[in-house]
Formats: sequence, C-alpha cells, structure tokens
Amino acid sequence: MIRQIFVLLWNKKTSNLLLLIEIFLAFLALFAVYSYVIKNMDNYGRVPGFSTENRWLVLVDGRDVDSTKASTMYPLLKKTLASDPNVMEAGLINSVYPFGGSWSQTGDDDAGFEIEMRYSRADANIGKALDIEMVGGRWFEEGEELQPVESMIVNQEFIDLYYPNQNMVDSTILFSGKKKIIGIIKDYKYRNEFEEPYSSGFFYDRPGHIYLSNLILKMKPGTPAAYQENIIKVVESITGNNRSVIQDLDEMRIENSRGSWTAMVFLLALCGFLCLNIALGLFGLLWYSIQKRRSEIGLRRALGAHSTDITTQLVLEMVILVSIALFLGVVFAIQVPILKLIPMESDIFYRAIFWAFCSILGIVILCTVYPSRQASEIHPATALHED
Amino acid sequence: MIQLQNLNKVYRTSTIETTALNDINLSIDKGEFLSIMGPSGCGKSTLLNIMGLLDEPSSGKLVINGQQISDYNSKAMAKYRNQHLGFIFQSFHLIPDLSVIDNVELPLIYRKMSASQRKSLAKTALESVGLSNRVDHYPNQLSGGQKQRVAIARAIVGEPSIILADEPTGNLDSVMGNEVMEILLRLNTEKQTTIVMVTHDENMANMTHRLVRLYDGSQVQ
Ligand SMILES: Nc1ncnc2c1ncn2[C@@H]1O[C@H](COP(=O)(O)OP(=O)(O)OP(=O)(O)O)[C@@H](O)[C@H]1O
Ligand SMILES: [Mg+2]
Repeated sequence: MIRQIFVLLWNKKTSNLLLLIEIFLAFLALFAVYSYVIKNMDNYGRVPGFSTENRWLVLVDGRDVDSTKASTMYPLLKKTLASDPNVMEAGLINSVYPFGGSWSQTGDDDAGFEIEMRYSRADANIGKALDIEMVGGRWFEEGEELQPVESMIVNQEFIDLYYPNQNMVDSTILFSGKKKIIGIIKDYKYRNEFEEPYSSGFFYDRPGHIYLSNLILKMKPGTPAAYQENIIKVVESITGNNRSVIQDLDEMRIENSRGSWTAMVFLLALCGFLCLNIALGLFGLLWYSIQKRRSEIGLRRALGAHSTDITTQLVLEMVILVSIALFLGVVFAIQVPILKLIPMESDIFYRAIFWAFCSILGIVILCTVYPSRQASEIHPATALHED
Repeated sequence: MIQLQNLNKVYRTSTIETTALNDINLSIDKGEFLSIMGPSGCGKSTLLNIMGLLDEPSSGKLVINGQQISDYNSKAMAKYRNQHLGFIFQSFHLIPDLSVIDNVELPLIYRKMSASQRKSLAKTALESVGLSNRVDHYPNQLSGGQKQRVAIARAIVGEPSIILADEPTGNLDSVMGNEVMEILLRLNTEKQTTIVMVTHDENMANMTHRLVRLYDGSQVQ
C-alpha cells in the first residue's frame, strides 16, 4: 500500500510539486514567526522585577538647575511630595527611568574579564517606590554615600553571567574601581517588557545630587488620575516653572509594549492567513483529485477495499506528501540553531520547529479527513458506470 | 452457487422511479458460463452489480454459496468481493498512474499479502493472459485488447470463484474481442470459474453455456 502510494504521488509529481513547495515555504514562514513570537513571549514571561501599578513619574524640568539649587530643591520636592496623603513612597531617580527610552551602560575589565552593566542611579526610596524585588542583601539606605566602598545593586543576571553560583552579597568587586555589592535584585526589566535578559543594576546618589532629577511616586491604590493636578501644583510651586510633567508608569509600560504586540498580532495573523491558504488549497486539490479519481475509488471498492481503506489511502497520500515537505522544511530550519545563524537560544528554534510542524500537519489532517471520508462514500456501482 | 429470488431493483430520484429489475429469479451453478443479453437500459449492469455486491436490491433475495448476502455488513461485503469475485468492465478501469503489474496487484493489496507474493501472483496472472512482456508498461502504452487482458489478469489474480464481466468486448474490435473471449472460455474450462457475462454479441453469447435475456428489467428467457 505504502509503495503504491509513493508510485501514485511520484506519477503526479508536477501537480504535487506545487503543493510541496507551498507547504515547504509556509513551514519556513511559520517557523520564522513562531521563533520571533516564542522569543518575545519567553521574555515577556520573565518577571519584570518591579511594579508599575499606581506609580507616577514626575519629570522635573532641570534646565536652569545647577548643583547648588539641586541640593535644596530636589530634597524639598521629595519631602513635600512624600508628605502628601495619597503618596505612599517618593524616591529620586536619574534620567534612566522605566520605559523612558534612555539607558546608561558601563563596562570594565578590572576583574580580569569583561563586565558590562546597564544602570540607573537612585536614592534610598526607589526600592520601595518601585517595589523592586530583592533576592538577597538590601536596598540602599540613607547615608549610603558614607560607606567606605561605593555600594552597588545588581540583578540576578549579572551574578549568573559573571559570578555564577557564588554568594556575592557584601562582596567587593573590581568594577571601575572597588564596588561593594550590597543587594541583588531579581531583575529590572525597565526598558521593555520584551527585552532580553541583561545584566543591570543601580548605583547610589544622595537626594540633592543633580543627577537625581526625577521622582517616582507610589500612590495609594485608587488615587484618581485627576489627582495628578494636585501633584503638579506642588511641583510647580517648588520649581517655580510649569515645565514639569507627570506620567503614569503603567500607561508608559503599555504604550511601550504596543509596537511589539502589534507586530506579533500582525505576524500571527499572516500565519493564520497562510494556514487558511494551505487549507483551502488542500481542500481544493483533494476535491478535484477525488472527482478525477471517482472511477479509481469505485474500482478499489469493487476489488475489495472497504470505505475505511479508501479514507486511509487518501489521507495517507496527503500526509506522506506533506511529510516530505515538512521534512525538507525541518532540515532547513534546523540549520538556524545548529549553525547558530541567529544569536538566540537554540531551544526557541526547536520549539518553533515543533509548533510549525504540528500546525501544518494538523491543518493537513483536518482538511484531508473530510473530503476523503466523502470520497469513501462514493457508490462503487455509480462511479464505475460513469465513464 | 448464485441464487436470485424475486429480485427487484427500483431507482428512485425525486422526480421519477425507474424499475431496473423486475422479479428476477435466476440460479447459476458452479462452473457455469452464463451470458446476459438485452437492449440498452434493460438492467443488465444493474443485475451484475447486485450479483457483485456493488449495489443492493430493493427487494428479493441474493444467496451466494448458501449465504444470504443481506446478512453481510459492509466490511464483510468488501471482503467477499475481494476473495470470491473478479470484475471485468467494458471500459477496463485501469488506474492510469500505476504500471500494469501494480494494476494487477490491486486486489491483493487488500489481502494483507507480502509484496513479493503479490508480485509473483501478478506475474503468473499476466502470463496467463499473454502479457508477461508488458509488466512495467503503463495503461496508456497499451492497445484496447491489451488493456482488457490486463483487466482480466487483475480479475483472476486472486483466483476468485466467480467472474462478473460487463460487456468485456464492448470496446474492442472483433479480433481483440475474440482473444478476450478465448481467455474467458479457457478460464471457465480449466479452472471451473463461474462466469457471468453481459454482451451485445450473439456469437459470443452462443459460445457460453446458457443465455439469459432481459427486457425492461424482466427476464424473458
Ligand atoms: N444510479 C442510477 N440511478 C437511477 N437510475 C439508474 C441508475 N443506474 C441505472 N439506472 C437506470 O436503470 C436502468 C437499467 O440500467 P443498466 O445500467 O442496468 O442498463 P444496461 O442494461 O446495463 O444498459 P447498457 O446496455 O446501456 O449498459 C436504466 O433505465 C437506467 O437509466
Ligand atoms: Mg450496462
């Protein structure tokens, strides 16, 4: 039976080749999109390490602020806002704040190997203001600048990359001079919800330092958005200008991710369309070939094939044909992780291959079983009588 | 071997009712070569299809080898066709995408038989119809007579006890028709295969043991 199916497929190679190519290309397209989506969703699934809910960001205009003015104005802002009944926590952060689009990075090989880190500068209250999740050690405290060795906080990825399996809390490392790791945070996915794991962390600055020009406020749950007016008024009364801006961190997060979501939905819709195309193509092809093969089907029934034999044969024909295309597709796709053509975890590609394979095979079986069953119901006497 | 009792077949469509067979009573013995004649549309193919379990009678009884066929389910019928019946059609019904030998092997495919065994049986069958030099040809490379001989090889490859032939020479000229007829006669005498043949040719009908004439679905002789 199997050999005969191969013969039948081979002898119809011109029409089958087209389907084969279509499925091969569709598989590769699905593989590419699935890889992209799986990678994104893996990153999305990683905890962000901090919270954006009920968090407001105050961007203080610092155009005519010098270090003298900064040393009084920012601590006053922080103190005044922290005393607001709706503000649970107020912290100062530099221009590298969540979803703001800017970042600072520093690298060094003092330790004898390359260390890289993206960092923000923050005060003692940012830990609570953002509910940053600690996995070890502590957050900065007031007067941190008085420590004999400069303090830093790093994320777990930093430890995993550079000091794997070591307890680094309170260790002093060489990183642009001596630094003491006082705390380890789970993560700090502040750039994008879909960002790759990256070594990141915080350096300390005391309130009043000119770098710490922005405030993050943890608001009481249920504080209405209109309350931003009150905050702004307080800020304006202290800065003496109306150029400061207040933003909701949660909205910034959503806005920031919109592009990635749109791209994924678009690409998945494209895949859906491709699959639909295959489905219709298969349906049409099968329908046509069954009409053309009515007498063959009638004959097989006459020679002793049961209707299930007919269904099995037609489904098997399609499945074998599609498997050839899928096999070729897998052989191509698997080169990506094997030859490391794209610097991504190979696991993502294997999962993408698996799902693309299942999607297409599923469609094929779905679209083949129904027409094949119909075909097996063909009345042999009628079919044999037709030509 | 084959008994038809009060057999009727009525085709019903939404608009008309056609009585294709009307109260047929027929008994065919083992080893008999029977021919059926009658004008076009009188029900010859219908009768053959019913005997071949390709169609069901509207009423009446069909008994083959003492077994009442209406008791069979579709699986049993398929199995019965496969093991006991051989079909030959006017228009050959060879599968164009399969080689001669693959076509001949077809009935054996549904018999769970090893490939080598199928091949050797198919070769023997092709030899007996004088086509052992055409095994790897495709149907469109054969003449009409050769095609029909392939079809005969296919019908006999499983050594059925009954062969049902619907105008086997209808599409052939007289020379090729005679060749086919000779093969059928030889099969009947050498292997005692029961043959029921529909034909329009009086001469061929006269070569068989018995002739049944149908007219408008009824037996007239
Ligand atoms: N599937 C069907 N549906 C409706 N009517 C049918 C069907 N098959 C056959 N008939 C009718 O039954 C009658 C007998 O048909 P059948 O094919 O048995 O004739 P036949 O004797 O074989 O004719 P021919 O010599 O032309 O082959 C005809 O009137 C035909 O129109
Ligand atoms: Mg007929």
